[in-house]
Amino acid sequence: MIDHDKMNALASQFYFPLIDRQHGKLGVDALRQILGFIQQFYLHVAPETRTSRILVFKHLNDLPTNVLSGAHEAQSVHHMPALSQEPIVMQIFENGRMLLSQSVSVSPEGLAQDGVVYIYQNRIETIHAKNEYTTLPNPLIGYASMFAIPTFDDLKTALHEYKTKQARKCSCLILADVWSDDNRLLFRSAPEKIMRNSLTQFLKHTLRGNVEVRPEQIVNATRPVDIKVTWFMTNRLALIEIKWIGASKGKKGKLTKRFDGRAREGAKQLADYLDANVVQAPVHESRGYLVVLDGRRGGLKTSTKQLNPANGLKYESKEIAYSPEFHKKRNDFEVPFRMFIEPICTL
Amino acid sequence: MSSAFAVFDYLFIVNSLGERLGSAAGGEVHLFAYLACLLSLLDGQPSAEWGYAFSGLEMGSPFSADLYESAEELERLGMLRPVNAGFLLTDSGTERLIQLESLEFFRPRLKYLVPSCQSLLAFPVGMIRNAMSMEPGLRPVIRAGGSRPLLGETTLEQLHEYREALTRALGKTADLLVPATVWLKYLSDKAAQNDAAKMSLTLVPTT
Repeated sequence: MIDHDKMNALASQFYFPLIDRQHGKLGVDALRQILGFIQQFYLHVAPETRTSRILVFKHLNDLPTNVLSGAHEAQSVHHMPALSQEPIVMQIFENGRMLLSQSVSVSPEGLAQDGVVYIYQNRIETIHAKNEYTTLPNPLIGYASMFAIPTFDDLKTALHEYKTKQARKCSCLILADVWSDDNRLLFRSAPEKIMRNSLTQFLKHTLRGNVEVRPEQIVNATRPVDIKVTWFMTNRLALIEIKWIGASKGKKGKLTKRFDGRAREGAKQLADYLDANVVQAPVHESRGYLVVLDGRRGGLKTSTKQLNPANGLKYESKEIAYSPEFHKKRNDFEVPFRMFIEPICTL
Repeated sequence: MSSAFAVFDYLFIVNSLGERLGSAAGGEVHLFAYLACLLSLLDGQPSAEWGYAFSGLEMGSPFSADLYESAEELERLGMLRPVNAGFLLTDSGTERLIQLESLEFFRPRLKYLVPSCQSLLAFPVGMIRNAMSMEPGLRPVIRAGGSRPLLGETTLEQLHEYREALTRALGKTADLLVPATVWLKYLSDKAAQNDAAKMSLTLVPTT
């Protein structure tokens, strides 16, 4: 059943119809060029490092704008000068040439009368045409721009990216919800579902190739594995088990602490899933991935509100000793991923 | 012997995805060819005009035997080279694509192949894959499991309803990429809702 209200809302708010409405075919062509350019630009300049505005403009008829006369001219995004933290204004042309200035002040509305304007500022992206503008949706909020979301050919690289870019500072907004406090000291009660949702969404958006990512898949009679990744047109599949260690605060304030033993239980559980999966999917080449989200802190009590770096980061480099070491004994068991999540510490 | 349309589509999509993503995985070629076929249906073309058929694989991905055979043939002819988990065109593959693109015979397909591949300008590939899992052909495959032919009568009726809904909401658009992106965004939001609903249902507590 089609949701006509939703369809109508998209027609009025999504940026492609906006450009079509205001500028027609020339506008959509300009938008195509802007989007292609931004994806290239963000390979060179990480948007999250920018503290000021980025503005990209394409004139409908490819005419240079007066305000950029005297601006730096580059043959392509590969030939840009070094950038300061001042706001960036760029005009792009059909042939790939671009004008770039970090000293002019421009009004998006003025430029948008005869072209399409893209703006990035404080992790918000907008597209402007004539007097109308709209905010772009970002499907993976942990990334500053939807045009800077990376893709990965293999699961191991994707998990490393999740560890460093999403989990480490809890940049993923879904994952940010696992805490019971603002300083990331205590997990909330039963945080595993949130952790699974966060990693599932990340893998769905970033893994590419012949791949399907599904949460909670049954592999044995008692429990589902947290995430199953299947590569179709091949016989490969991956089972991901997620565990957390640290302390969680129950609804009545009671602390539940989980130590290294919990990660070892997870390893055993995953080994059992892999054995069961041989029975369920005998022709598949399966591989197990244990993800341990590490929220261990030093000197933590129920009443603790803040920690200094010595206590907050006490377990940052403290690896978990596994026994048995399935990752060494079995060739279908990847080295476990311990993902330490930093607290916000007081100095 | 693979279909001439499937050979052309394979070359075109590998080339386009290669430019955007660095390579094209086999499953991605089938996905973007199927999206192009759906765009032709949303544009009012009859399904038989596409030139080859699709099935839905058990995991909910589109698959065409003609595209699969084309890949084998192109690889045998040295027109594809493996890169990472996918393919790129070799020089002879690029030459063949340029040659075929100049033929009137293939030109009408570009109207649909181009916006299908250009949807990557607006969405990450994972989001397109996720969105496509909600389109009327693949949705029943995922629900019921097992492979089955796509674009049966019910699917075509539902696609017709989408066509009407898009036309009513957007009016006449200057470029097919406009309804294509709106449709994908609509399906993507539906997929996100569906995922959220599924994730809130815990089958067995995972402790």
